[in-house]
Amino acid sequence: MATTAATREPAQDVFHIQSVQKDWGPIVHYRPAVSSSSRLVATASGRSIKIFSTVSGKLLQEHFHHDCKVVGVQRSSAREDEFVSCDEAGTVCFWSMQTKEAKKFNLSPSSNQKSVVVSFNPFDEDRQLLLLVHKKGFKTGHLFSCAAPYSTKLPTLLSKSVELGVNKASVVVSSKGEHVAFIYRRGLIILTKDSKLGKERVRQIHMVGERPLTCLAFHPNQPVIASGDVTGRIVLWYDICNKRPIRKQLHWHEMPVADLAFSALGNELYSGGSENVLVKWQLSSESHYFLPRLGLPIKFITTDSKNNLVITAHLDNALSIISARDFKKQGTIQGLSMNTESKNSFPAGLTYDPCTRSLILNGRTGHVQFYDPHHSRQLYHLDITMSNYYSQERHQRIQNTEVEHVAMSRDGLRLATAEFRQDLETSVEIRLKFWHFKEEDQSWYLNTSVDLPHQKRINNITFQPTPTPGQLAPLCVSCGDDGKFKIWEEEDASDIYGTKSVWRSTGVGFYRHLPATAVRISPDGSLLAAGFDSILTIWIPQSCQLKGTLSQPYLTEPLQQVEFGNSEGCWSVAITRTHRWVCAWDLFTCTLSWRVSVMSSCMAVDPLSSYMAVFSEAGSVYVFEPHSSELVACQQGTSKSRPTSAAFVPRVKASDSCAVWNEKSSLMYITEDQTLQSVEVMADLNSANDKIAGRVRQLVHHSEASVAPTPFAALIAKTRTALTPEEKVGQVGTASHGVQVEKSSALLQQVLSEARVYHLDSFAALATEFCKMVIPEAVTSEEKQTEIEMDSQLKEKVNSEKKKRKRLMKEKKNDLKKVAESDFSDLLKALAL
Amino acid sequence: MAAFKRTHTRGYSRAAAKTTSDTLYWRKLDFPVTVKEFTAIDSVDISPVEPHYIAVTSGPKIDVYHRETTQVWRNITRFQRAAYGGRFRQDGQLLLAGSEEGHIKLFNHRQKQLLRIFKGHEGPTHCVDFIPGVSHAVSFSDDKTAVVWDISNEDKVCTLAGHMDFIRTGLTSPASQHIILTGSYDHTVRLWDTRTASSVLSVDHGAPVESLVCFPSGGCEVRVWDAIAGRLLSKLSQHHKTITCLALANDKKRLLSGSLDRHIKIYDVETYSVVHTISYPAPVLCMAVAPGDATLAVGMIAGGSGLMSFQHRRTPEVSTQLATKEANAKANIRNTISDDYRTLSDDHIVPSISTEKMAKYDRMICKFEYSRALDAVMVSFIANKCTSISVGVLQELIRRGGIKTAVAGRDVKKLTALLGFLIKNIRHPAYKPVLMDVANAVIDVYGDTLDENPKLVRHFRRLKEEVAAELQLCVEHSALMGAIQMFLTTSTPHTNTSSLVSVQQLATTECSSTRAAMLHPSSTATSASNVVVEVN
Repeated sequence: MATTAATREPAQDVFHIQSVQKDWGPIVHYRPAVSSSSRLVATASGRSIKIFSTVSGKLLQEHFHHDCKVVGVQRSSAREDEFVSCDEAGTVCFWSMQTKEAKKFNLSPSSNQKSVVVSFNPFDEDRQLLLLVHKKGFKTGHLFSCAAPYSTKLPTLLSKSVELGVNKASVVVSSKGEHVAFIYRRGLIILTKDSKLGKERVRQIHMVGERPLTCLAFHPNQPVIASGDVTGRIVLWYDICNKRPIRKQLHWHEMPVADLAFSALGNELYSGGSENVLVKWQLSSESHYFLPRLGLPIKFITTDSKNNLVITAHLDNALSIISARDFKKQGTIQGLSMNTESKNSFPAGLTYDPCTRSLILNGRTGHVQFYDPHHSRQLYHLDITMSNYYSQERHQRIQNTEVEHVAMSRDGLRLATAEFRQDLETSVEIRLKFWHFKEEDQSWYLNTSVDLPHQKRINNITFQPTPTPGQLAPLCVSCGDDGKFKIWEEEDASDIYGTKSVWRSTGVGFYRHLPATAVRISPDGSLLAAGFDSILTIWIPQSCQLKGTLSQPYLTEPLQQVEFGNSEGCWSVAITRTHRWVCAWDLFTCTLSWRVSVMSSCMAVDPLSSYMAVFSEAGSVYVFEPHSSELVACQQGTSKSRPTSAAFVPRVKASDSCAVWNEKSSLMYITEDQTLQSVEVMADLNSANDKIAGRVRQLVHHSEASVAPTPFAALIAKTRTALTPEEKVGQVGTASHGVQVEKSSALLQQVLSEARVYHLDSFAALATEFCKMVIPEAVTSEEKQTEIEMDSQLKEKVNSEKKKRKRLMKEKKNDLKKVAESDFSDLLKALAL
Repeated sequence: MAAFKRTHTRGYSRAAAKTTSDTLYWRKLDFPVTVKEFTAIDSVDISPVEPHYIAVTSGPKIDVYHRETTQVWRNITRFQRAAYGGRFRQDGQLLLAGSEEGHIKLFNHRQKQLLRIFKGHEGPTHCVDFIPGVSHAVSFSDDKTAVVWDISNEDKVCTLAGHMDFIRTGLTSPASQHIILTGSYDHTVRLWDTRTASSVLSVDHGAPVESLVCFPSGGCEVRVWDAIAGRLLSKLSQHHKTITCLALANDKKRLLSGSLDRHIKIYDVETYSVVHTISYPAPVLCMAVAPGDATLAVGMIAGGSGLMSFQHRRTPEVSTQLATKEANAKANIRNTISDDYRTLSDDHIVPSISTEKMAKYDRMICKFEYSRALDAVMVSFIANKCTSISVGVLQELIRRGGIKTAVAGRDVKKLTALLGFLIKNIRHPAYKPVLMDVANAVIDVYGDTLDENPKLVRHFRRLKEEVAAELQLCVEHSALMGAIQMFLTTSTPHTNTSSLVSVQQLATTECSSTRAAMLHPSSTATSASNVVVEVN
């Protein structure tokens, strides 16, 4: 289905929905480079090179010299303040921060598309370079040497069997360029330039046995190489040109050494790995010093030329700046915190925090981070698990507790988090924590921690959007695989020593012992929708009374998400999302209003308007309103990789967006490759026209008019007509997106006789809205799966409504004719009335 | 560098009594010094001025104790029969006492001189008081009257008659010298105005009045009576036997009540909730609190004879310890800054870095010495008294994947300590998941070499028995829960909301602590019976 959807091209020339990246991207994939003044640090991040201040940690400049992914940036040895960067295609760039001009050379040794440059090493004054080229499908890389002028001299092949190593930085060059060392299967190869032999280099192999090397470092002014291996041993090789070099072993690490770096003068060696400890080896005195608990595992270590700083790059997309003199951490440069190694490092998804106008995401292991997408900066980390980070051990995998779900109350004062740890050997740890925001000191405090709130994994937690009168705080609901949802209520526990409150479970609900997969409370706080496997159940949250169940025999997938309509006219609509279907249920009539087949990955609801957005697995975005399956906007292939979570973030300032749905809040999502993106609507038309288009849609969206009054209507009409043939074929449910309307109504139990659930005005709106649901085919060929006990009254009601609908249909068609015939100014007048 | 986060060990302490500032405050009282008297202690009074002599009235004498030494300092024995209610004047100079024959005697307790005798009561006088500001005294007698005396000439100023039964307690209001309160066995408390010698206010109490205290809070007086009080502001019924005495403490913020049930309860005067309880070996008859809560003197009756208990506050000693510490720190030459040293504005001041002291087990865990960390928490004191710490550390070791390393390589003595801990605590609901994992690790490590030592075999057998008993309980509980479930399902849809809520709430408690519930048969059994009642 997703593939068919991808092949079709909807009208893109009118609206163009684009993704705008909202974070810095990963900055730790390659070794950072420190400027000669040690004030600045440059890192390669995607196609750009970012320059940060080491003093304030702020992003100062961003250079776009390359067209594809940059594989490294290093300080040029030739000139002060000059940097060299290289990208995958082999383009090498020499640039400096002041002039901003860059000298580009394409050095790609082979024109083959499959081979990419993975690392490079500049050395010597006359801009000599080593390029490590990796061909896809091969285990080893080819090492080329290039010398200026690049146009005339062809790169020479030095070796064909360079192990890539952990960090793809397995080649080191001595500062003068006499020695080139790289990792070779189970050994270390040193190529030495011999003045007698001329161009050829002498090859010397040193075997290391059963301990493969992971990283190398060359001493800045002596022919000494330090190598780290998978067992955590560091070997210093003295007298490397000799057949039997003198080795000195340094052993502290338990896990593989990730990176090594000599200090500027070469009397100290820094090493780091996944123990999160930076070890400083004093080479002259045999002593070593530790800097423990630096965050997540260390990937790279860089030293500067003045021996002021040591910079470590960590797995969580952070750079630690460590003062080399007193060996203390000075500061951190932190982008969007993520685990760059893992596939899904944001299990808790995106949650909007109205207080700081930021997004809450998983951060460092066991933390959540508050990230401000408007300014692309991380505000702070909140430690949820309050335990130390356990580094991995050699013989066993150690599981750290992860925050799996985050829910924020609408006022931004209560936060609920669910953490989970399972190592499949010992008993699971599940903890539900409630945090309170204190406005006095603007920080979060842990109020209640519940051990084992559910016997099995928690699937979802949510807060009541508006508290019922008389309640201290909104209710919180959690649901889990143990087939129960639990209602948590904040209770007053004040005594003479001060006011306190504590969260207690006040209700529990279960249905047929099915796993509870999703839970949500309606915006007015009066109804609770809980998804038990494939069945949607409706409860009264205060008393845990089951009011009704909604299901369809062919919807057998477990519900992944339940959302309520959020504004006037769609209070009574609940949208459920399973892996393959997005369905809308009318809670008032207990019918399935519509369903649409889409391989969805996440859904988001705008808190300020009625719009909802669904992302498909393939990265397409569909925006709709709950009361109709008609699309408001859609865009194929918005994101390159699968979106994992999405949220509407209210805009800080008035937007220049031209689509109505995008006006109040912007849609943000996070993808599998861990970038935070925002969906922005670009249009070639001026915004006024589009606003009209958005309103006209209200009138037009039922018609399949071939003559469309506005571009937007044209878009809709186009998609509609494009879909119709398939619709006819795929009655069973294979339509790709948008508009298949389910024609059967399901009513399994009498639901919702209590009128107090609804506001009166919304009730009126609902009635009109219900009448607006005009789908001619649906009316004529409606097959009802009416239960026997369904009373005749309801039938009558439906019949009368049918009639009403038909009548309305006619009126509307007349209206539409008018719309089609009249020109635009008439419509505007009508709208103004 | 982030600081090492402490091992989380406080997660399980919710069942224990909460430590509040009050419990800490009252726990600072010393171990009591007890003095045995021949007869029951009638009253205790502490002089309001330094050095706070304590007058203990028992039998036909009044012993005046020195507060610091708790030794008898003066002995007043000028009574033919029993003396009652020895009381100091507000300036601590004079001592007034009633007696069984009805005379009221005024002493200068320093010289043991009898200064005045007020004669006129026909019955025993159990309670006397000075009226502040004027040289008057008031006595409350069993002849149903209270009499105000002029101290200078032993004359009756006025007689307050109106009670129907013995007046056993009374006092002058600290707010006004004209107001006198009496509490009588006719179940009433009366407020008298001495200017008119008439009862201004009478409150029915519903039971004989034994003791009265008065708050010096403006004109508004809060009255609290013994036992089940006739309510004015609050009803206190925390004791199950007669309350015999009341006192105020902690700068009038706490009310103390002593009772024949051998307890002194301490209340917060704003909410009248109990904040602390002190137990005594015998029924409490009277008590007095020295200013600043420095001493709590309690008179008791133990088998016909009296027992005095004096408890001193420990705080001064603590402060002296601190003082010596400070003095030591000052004596250390490296810490000394001479007095004439002035910091200049451009001086670079290096802040002193104080490292947080880590617990022993945390230090071990920090160094990955898992086995030693386990040893540190298997010390009998921690394992028995602070079980949550031991379990917290075990949990931490499990999380770090170091439990097998920690458990392995133990000799029989160390292993029996661990097994004993497991046997003792494995059925505790909060500790069960962790301890089961630990038990599994122990069995994994020592399962093969188990038969080498009979002592270990015995321990393992006991562990097995515990687990079997636990399983049995679980089975019983499942049966019980099934029964409850039946009630729930039958009662759900059509019952009225209130009962439904209660049932639902019960279900919640049931389910939220399934494991806990399975372990405490008694508690759930009672709640189950409640359900049955409610449903019926």
